Amino acid sequence: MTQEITSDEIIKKIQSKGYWSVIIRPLTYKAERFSLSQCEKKVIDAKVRKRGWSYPYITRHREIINYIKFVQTYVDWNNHTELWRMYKDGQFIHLFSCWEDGDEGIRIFSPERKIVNPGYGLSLLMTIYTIYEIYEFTSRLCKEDYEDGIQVKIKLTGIKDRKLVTVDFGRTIYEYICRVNEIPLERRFDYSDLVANKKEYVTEDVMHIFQIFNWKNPNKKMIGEEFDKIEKGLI
Amino acid sequence: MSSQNDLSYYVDYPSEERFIEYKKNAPWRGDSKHKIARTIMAMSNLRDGGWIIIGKEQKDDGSFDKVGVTNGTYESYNLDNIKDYLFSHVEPMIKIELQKEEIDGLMYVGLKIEGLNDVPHICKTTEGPHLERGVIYVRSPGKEGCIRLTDYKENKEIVDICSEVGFKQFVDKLKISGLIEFRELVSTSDEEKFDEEISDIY
Repeated sequence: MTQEITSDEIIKKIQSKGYWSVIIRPLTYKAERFSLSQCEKKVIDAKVRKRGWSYPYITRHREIINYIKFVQTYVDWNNHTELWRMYKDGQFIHLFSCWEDGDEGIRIFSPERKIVNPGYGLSLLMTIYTIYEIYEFTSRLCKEDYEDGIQVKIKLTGIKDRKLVTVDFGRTIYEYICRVNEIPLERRFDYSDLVANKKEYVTEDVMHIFQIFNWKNPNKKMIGEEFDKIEKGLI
Repeated sequence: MSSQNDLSYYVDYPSEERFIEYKKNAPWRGDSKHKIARTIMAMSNLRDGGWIIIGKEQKDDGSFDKVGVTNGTYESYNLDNIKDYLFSHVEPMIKIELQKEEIDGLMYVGLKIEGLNDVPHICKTTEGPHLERGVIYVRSPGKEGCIRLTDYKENKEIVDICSEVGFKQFVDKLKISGLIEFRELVSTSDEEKFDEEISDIY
């Protein structure tokens, strides 16, 4: 793990390749909704750990730092480069690089099983799991103190000309290629809406991403099955 | 620590303002009652209302001393009596709160008056020299005490406040009726504030 890199350098590194940005915020602005210690506690308590790497990542090796209006931490290790902040007004922002574009260059198993360079692909399964984690985290973070409603903004950036790929040997997908550089997603809802409709939100968002990759009729059943697997901790 | 909802805050406040009036030892009876009622009506025609504090005396240099009130004055203030009197002398009804407190060995009375709603408060009963039927009393900036609504500027202020309040009530009715989804009425300025604070990284 890099010890010397600064948060500014992390942000530049994240934004230099494909990356996700996630914003979760209340609909009403209240500057002092939480204290700094509450900000830290809320994120720690809400983190999702269904895979080997939690969402968002909270490292044992780097502190969560207090600033005037937010707490922040970041990590740059192996395939994981990410930074998140939680503001006192209840806004959470998370930037993280595409897993597929890790420093070492990820070996994505295309049908030809070639080693490929960063920028080649977006993993089908990783996309489903990431969207799931975002909404699951939101449901935990916003369980209390967000009665005025919630806005979630998700954006995939740096994905022009990428292919949708799978590391699952059991699956074969055709060549689906994205021709735009960014895919934005946004929702506004109440907490109770999210709890009732989480699976639907995840499925719709994933299907939208796949459609922008020109997969005109994504397999909704398959997406639902993967949702159920990660929800039950079976991955 | 006192807040702006407490009598003690205004007892300590150093001066009169458009929304704060001090009186020395004015009981709720006779001529004194009429003057206070007129001040209540004028305060109720301010956007955010005001306070009348009884127990402070103005000195020659214009500052105010904390002098308290007598037992008789203190006991003369009763919220039911005040409301009954206002009910018979002003339309629409004014929302008022009575606070009575002993502070540092002295007794004080405070009247907290709620501000303008959708229509101005008008005196509906003539009584003595201080209350005249049909008059809208206002607290005019730059002038002492309460005056009749007479000139264009004072008139415009009251009309502007009523229009603003009326518009807000109209929007509230739309929200309740479901004709407009509430999220569309969320102030874009809130979203702008959120966007601005993350603009260094997003």
